[in-house]
Amino acid sequence: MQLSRDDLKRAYTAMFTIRAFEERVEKEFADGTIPGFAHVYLGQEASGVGVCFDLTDDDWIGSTHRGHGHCIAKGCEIEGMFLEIMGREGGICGGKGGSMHIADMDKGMLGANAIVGGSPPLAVGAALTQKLRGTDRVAVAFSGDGASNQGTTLEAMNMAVILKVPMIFVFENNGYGEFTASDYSVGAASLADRAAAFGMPAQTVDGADFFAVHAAMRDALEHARSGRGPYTLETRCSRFLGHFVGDPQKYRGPEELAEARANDPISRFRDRVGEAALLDMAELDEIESAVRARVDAAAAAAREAPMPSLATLETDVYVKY
Amino acid sequence: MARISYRKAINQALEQEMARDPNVILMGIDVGGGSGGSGDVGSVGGVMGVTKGLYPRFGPDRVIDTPISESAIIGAAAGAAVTGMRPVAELMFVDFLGVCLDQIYNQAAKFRYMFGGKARTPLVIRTMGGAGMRAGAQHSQMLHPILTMIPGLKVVMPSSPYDAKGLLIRAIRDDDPVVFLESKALYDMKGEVPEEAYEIPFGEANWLREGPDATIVAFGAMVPRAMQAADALAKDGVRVTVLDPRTTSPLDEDAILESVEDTGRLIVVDESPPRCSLAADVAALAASRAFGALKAPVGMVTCPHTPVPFAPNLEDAYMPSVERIVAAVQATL
Amino acid sequence: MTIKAIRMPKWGLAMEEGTIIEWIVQEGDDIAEGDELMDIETTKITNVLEATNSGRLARIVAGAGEVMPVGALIGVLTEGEVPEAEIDAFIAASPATVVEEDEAGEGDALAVETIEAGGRRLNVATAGSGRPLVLIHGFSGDFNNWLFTIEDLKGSARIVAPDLPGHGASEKDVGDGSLGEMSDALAAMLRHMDIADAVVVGHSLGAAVAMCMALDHPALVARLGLVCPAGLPGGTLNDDFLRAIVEAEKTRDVKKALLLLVRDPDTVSRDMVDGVTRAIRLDGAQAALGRIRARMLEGDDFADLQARLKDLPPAVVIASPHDAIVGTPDAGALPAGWTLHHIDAAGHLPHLEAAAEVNALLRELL
Repeated sequence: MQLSRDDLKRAYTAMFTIRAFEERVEKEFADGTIPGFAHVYLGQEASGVGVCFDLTDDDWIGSTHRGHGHCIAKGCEIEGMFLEIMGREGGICGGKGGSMHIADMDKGMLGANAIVGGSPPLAVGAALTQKLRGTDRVAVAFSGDGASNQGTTLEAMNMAVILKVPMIFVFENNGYGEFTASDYSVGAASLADRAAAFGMPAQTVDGADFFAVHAAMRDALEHARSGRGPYTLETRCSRFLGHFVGDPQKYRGPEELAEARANDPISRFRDRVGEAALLDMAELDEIESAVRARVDAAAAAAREAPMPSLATLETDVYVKY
Repeated sequence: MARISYRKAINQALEQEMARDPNVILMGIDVGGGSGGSGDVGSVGGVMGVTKGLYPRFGPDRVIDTPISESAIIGAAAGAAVTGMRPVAELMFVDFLGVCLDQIYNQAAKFRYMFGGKARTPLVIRTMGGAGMRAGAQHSQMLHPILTMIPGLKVVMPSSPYDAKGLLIRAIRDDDPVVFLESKALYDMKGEVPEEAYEIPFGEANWLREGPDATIVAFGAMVPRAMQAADALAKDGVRVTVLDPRTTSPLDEDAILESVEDTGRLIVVDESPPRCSLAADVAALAASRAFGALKAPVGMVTCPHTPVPFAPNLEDAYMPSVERIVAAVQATL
Repeated sequence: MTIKAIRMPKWGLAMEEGTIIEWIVQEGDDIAEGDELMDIETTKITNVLEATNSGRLARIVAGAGEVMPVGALIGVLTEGEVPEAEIDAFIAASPATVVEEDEAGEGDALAVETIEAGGRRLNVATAGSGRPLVLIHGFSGDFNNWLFTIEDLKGSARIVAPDLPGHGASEKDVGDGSLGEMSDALAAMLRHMDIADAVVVGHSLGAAVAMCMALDHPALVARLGLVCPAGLPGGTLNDDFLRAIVEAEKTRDVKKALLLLVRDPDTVSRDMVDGVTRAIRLDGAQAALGRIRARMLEGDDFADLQARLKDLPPAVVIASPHDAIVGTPDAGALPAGWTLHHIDAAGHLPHLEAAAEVNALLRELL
């Protein structure tokens, strides 16, 4: 299960693109170019990229309100994402979706979802399509620890088991549902334990370790694609920032925040490939500067882009009405 | 032409569309007919027997018995729809809307708009509603006004066996999410229905009767009552037009306005409490766009602003009756 | 000193009730057989009910606007002096609901069946006994278009009124949509029914099919009646109508098309429009009509037909100067022995708009 040098570069490119993208979102938000609010994925890059690494455009993911990282990991173009997040013409959703509703059917991205627990039932359906058509594709539902307490999520887990669909429930446990800690809100030692109650195999992994997430996901994919039904992964993550950009995070102590920053998935990836001499640091630096340049250009272009035409206000409500 | 029941007409539409298109699947509580027991699966076909015979013909992959998990049923159907299937999900009673509404109005109905026109969600939600079965407050409502106000959804209220079949086939072939709201009071109603498949387009009212004196607009199970009222009025020489819009979203505003321009009198019969009802909606349509034609205030025959009561006499009083419709028409003359 | 009932008539198989639009005569009027009594609206059409007896109209039982079931008592005729009390008793004794037609024998009842023949499934209505009379409807019609003819002539002939391929409840496979394809289908059906030497009457497209059948299957056709026929020399073909039907989406599109067919727009009732709308909404129906239309417009079927007119048995042609669909044929171009009748009180549907005149002419063919 050795990753090639190209695989490693691809993984690092994806992770660092998320990092640079979200840092830019933070800055743009402060500049007032992003309407509404934004939830960034900083600190969780290894989880999304590790889960999506072996998926193709024909596999489906359902995402969350904190969905930028999932979009990038699944292959959405950041140029269209910046336009979308700024509410501009040419955005992935024509400026009608925004940060919490980015979807790209061509990339198997079923949508970020602003309803906590919104995606799991939908992903069951996407997996059902694969089962009925006899493909070897899967569906993934990303949820947070918050969504693990939603009835929709629990209904979906049971339904997926009953229907034996090829699906993976990924719980990115970043320790907080909005401002409330999962230690307080989740009545179980781990989210993986909950899966067991549904008769579903599960693993809990270090969500800051790309290699651990990727290895666990390979187990999950093998299980799902072999017709044995759904699988659960709990990736333990840390949120660098608060619930939304600008959240002062009074509910987290300073030590905890420092620990989160110290457990940086990007640094850990660099350290790991460096120690094992899999890639040169210069190669990683090269990736970083290319990514930064692309992100800067995409953001700058989005800032200059026109708003959507008013003529689009009432279009695309229906295919035909 | 065969005379079959409303129930059978729905069954026939499902069977013919499933035979025609392998992407059409059914899912819901007991739609197959009780999977996992020690007896025969498929001997029932839903609590009302509407899907009877489909499990034996199409098997468990296409007629899917689900747990009692309405959010997961509707959500999975929406997810299957947006990834290429044409699911017909059954929400047994429309009263259960409360436990799955998010998947309908925040998810399925908004996909296309939120995603900039890139999603297609050919989902049908079959559900039944309506009072008159002595089923009490949580199994007797008609919630079409809530559904009708949701952009992205289409809402169908068939009032006859012929319409039920043609509208359901249209719904299954439609590329947008459709709520197909069956009136359980009509399941045994019989009428002529062609054996072949056919479509009735959405947004086209059915002119059941034409008369110059007044226009009655009625929905779903209220349509046969409006027809009975029209018969009673005819005995007194009052000839009314009866319009069944068939779909509340889209609504055939042109037909309603055209008829009101002709008759000058409008009575709306809606099985719903009056506030924010289709009666209020259609009355507002006439007031805002045909005010000059109106010769009398719009008559609204609705239920009271109460839950559906249980005691038979109270439930009967809750429902718009033929007598109340007749009286409402006479009040406009 | 007799009392006679005026009852709601049954016009066609589907009619269950009728609405009295207005009485043309009044209580106390003396009525002669054949007088127009009232306008009645049915599920198919609005028509005049004529008196079948004479007498004085003693009582109107059901007035304007009333919807009455078929067979229900709607008026009372008397001959001679009849006490009011007896009339009241007569009315009281009349059942309010459906009365089966008592005059018509068993064999006169309209039966509808499906016949598989020549690899096709065709819907056909039959009634009466005697010489076979085959009635072939026109483009986008069905056997119900002949309801007044069936009603009138079923006592004198064995009526066979099929739905053409692609029409009514018949199969929607029309092959290449040609006259030959349709006439072969009907010929197979007639042979299956052991019918030969028939009087064949067609309307519009159905008239062209009738001529084609007479040429290709001469043993089946003894005499021809052609009502507003398509394809004769001097005639036209109004594609506005054909296209409107083939492309119609909404009921109002159908209504617009049907209005082209009639002289009096009131002939086109809402229910007549609904009937055609229902038929063309069946899966495959508009596609089938589209193929027939394309063949009529682009094929050589009519030219071929015109070249062989002299080979046909002499035909009775009924046309209307107000026909906006096929116009009127050139009398000079018709073969010797053919007769051409013009009916003024109708458009393209004289068998509905002026049924009595048309039926009288058709009766002569039997």
